[in-house]
Amino acid sequence: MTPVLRLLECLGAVAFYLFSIVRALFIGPRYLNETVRVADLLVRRCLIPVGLAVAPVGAVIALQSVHILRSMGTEGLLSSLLATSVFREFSPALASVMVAAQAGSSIAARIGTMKVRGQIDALAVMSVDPVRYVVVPGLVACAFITPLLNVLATILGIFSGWVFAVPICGVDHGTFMVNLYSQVSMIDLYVGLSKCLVFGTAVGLIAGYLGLNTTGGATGVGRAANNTVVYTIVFILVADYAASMLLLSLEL
Amino acid sequence: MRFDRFVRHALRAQFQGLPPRDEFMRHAIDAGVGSIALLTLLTVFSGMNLAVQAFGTFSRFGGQEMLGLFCGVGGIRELYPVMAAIVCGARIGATLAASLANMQISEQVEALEVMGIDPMRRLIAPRLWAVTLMLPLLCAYADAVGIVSSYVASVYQLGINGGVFISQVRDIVKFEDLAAGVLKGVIFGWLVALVACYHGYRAAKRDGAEGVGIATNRAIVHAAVLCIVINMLLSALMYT
Amino acid sequence: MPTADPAPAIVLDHVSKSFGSQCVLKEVSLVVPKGKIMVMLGPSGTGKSVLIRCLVGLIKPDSGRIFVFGDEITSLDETSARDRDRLFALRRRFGMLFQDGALFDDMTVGENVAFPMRQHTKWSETKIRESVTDNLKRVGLPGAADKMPSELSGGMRKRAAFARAIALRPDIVLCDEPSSGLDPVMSATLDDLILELHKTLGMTFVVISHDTAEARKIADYIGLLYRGSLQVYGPSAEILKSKQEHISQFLARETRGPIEVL
Repeated sequence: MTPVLRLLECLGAVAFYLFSIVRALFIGPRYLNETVRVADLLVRRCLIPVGLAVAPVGAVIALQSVHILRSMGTEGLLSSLLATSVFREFSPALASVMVAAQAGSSIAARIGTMKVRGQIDALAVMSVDPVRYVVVPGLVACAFITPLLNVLATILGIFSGWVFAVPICGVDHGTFMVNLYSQVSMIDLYVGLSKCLVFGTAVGLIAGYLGLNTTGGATGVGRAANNTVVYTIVFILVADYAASMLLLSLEL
Repeated sequence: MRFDRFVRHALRAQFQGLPPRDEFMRHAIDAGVGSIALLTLLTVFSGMNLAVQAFGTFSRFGGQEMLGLFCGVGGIRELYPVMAAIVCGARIGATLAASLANMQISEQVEALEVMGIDPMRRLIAPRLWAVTLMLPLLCAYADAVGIVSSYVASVYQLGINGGVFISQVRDIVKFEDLAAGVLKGVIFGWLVALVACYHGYRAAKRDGAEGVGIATNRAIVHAAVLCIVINMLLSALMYT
Repeated sequence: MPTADPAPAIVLDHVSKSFGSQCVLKEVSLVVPKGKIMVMLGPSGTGKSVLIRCLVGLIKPDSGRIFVFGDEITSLDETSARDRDRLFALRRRFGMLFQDGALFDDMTVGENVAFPMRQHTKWSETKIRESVTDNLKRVGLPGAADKMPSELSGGMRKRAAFARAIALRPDIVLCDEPSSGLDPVMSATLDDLILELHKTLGMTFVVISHDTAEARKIADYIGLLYRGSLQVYGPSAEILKSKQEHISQFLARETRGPIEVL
């Protein structure tokens, strides 16, 4: 009985949390300054990790594909393959994972520390809605910054793929660029950006929820940060798969 | 303490004889068993996703029959070891960093030193050994689960011929690839543990609870980025 | 070099330590005779914790020398293996009670107390168990051996940590603010414990505190550290009557005087 009750309790808490967020987004005072501040911090802190994470992936895709495609005689398709997989899959997923790792865990840790030190209760006593003040700015910032970072990551990914393909492995530059332009369409870009919008929102939501519900002192803070990254990665991978199936059935 | 000094001390402690067995077992079990559920879940979805994505991409060029090749190469050589490293590395690294940071800020590390115990030998060395030995096993596990998931997705969702898929995988994946994956696992494991222990150990007492969060954050990000970049270098070395 | 009593436990000779631009210890010199209880008073954050950590080699002073039973601890170089061994050997003569106990979270209280025994002696399991029970009884926690540290209250955690600190019957026990965060009754209990252990086991005690009542109750020697300088130091009978402005302000709990709140 108790596990069922606890599950219901948990679902109720999550529902209430989401409701508070929606309410904060549509009604009432918005802390725009705070949002901009968090967004600025996010860009500065996540830029390098995202870049460092996606660029090597482009290189590795190029590296591994060159052999297979050469053996099939379709070496020219390398850039198309690179572009599609980077734009649609690896860039959004990895960029979001790194945002989760860097921003998600630090937002969860920050909110968790506030909770553990009683600062969340202090806000409530001062009639300031903690969700509105602490969670929503981070949420909005994550949701919008992740797609932006994704654009940069995609460019880096394609570029490092080019570096491995053309100078290092000797693929013809002209063929590479022609196939790249012919294959990449706006749909690929939209797919990547919308995935990041969803993933970034998830990061903000999960970090906020786990941060607000931290218990157990310093260990609890570490646990909140850890769990944020884990749950977000699970969400990203499951949602990514669902998106892939959806896109396939829509023949996009 | 700078990173290079930490690495030197940690290495000396690690190879100066066997680590305390109870500590080693505790961390090995936590790293291995604790990560299995998560790794399984994520590898299943990654494997299926890889198949679906490859299918979608290749069918543009009429190459969907090559699915087995692509899943075999892309998956076993790159995707699964790196994914295991990032996912397990993030989780394990976070746990290591958080526990060490917590011990630092509650003065437990100093208590050990005052009692004449070298914290490097008692705390760091067992963690290093545990993760270095566990991660390659997890990578191998991820390989198995991933390729099976790709197979399931290919055959039951995408209608690929199962026999063709399997024979393609057999053709393209050689023993060296599996060994390379395991070797990658060892290197990733060692790096993840080093980075996580470094950040946890460096937590400053005056930062308190915040220090634990900072250490965890840094451990996760640095471990993930390091694994991805090192993977690229290793792949370049192994496959060009 | 101050005149030495027969076999002093601890001697500090012009010890200084700075962190960056902040000077935490300024030419501190004192002698703690063997078997006495020394209480170091001072406002929070004036270097008392740094001092106690220098005694046991956790922090190395910038200048000056520290002698523990005649051995110079400051001359030991941590990078040399032989000196490291000597440092660890010297540390085994100390027991330390940290401010929040610093019990190891992943072991029970009993395992915590047994830890130094398991590490440094070859005692049988029976002997260890008996010793753990005995030590826990001395600190007033007879049934706590199987509890985890997180299940104990603050006062109980400190007492358990005390049991661990005295497990190997060290020659010197260091206490970092034992009564901080405790209510008056619990503080008094801890003070009585110090007196009791001192009477029965004869250890030297160095206690960092900002609780003047504690100093009055237990100290044989009292010192006052303010902004890194040792303002007064001597037998407690003298110090408690001293007209020196820092110590009289501190003892009288007065806001007016040379000690300023930062």
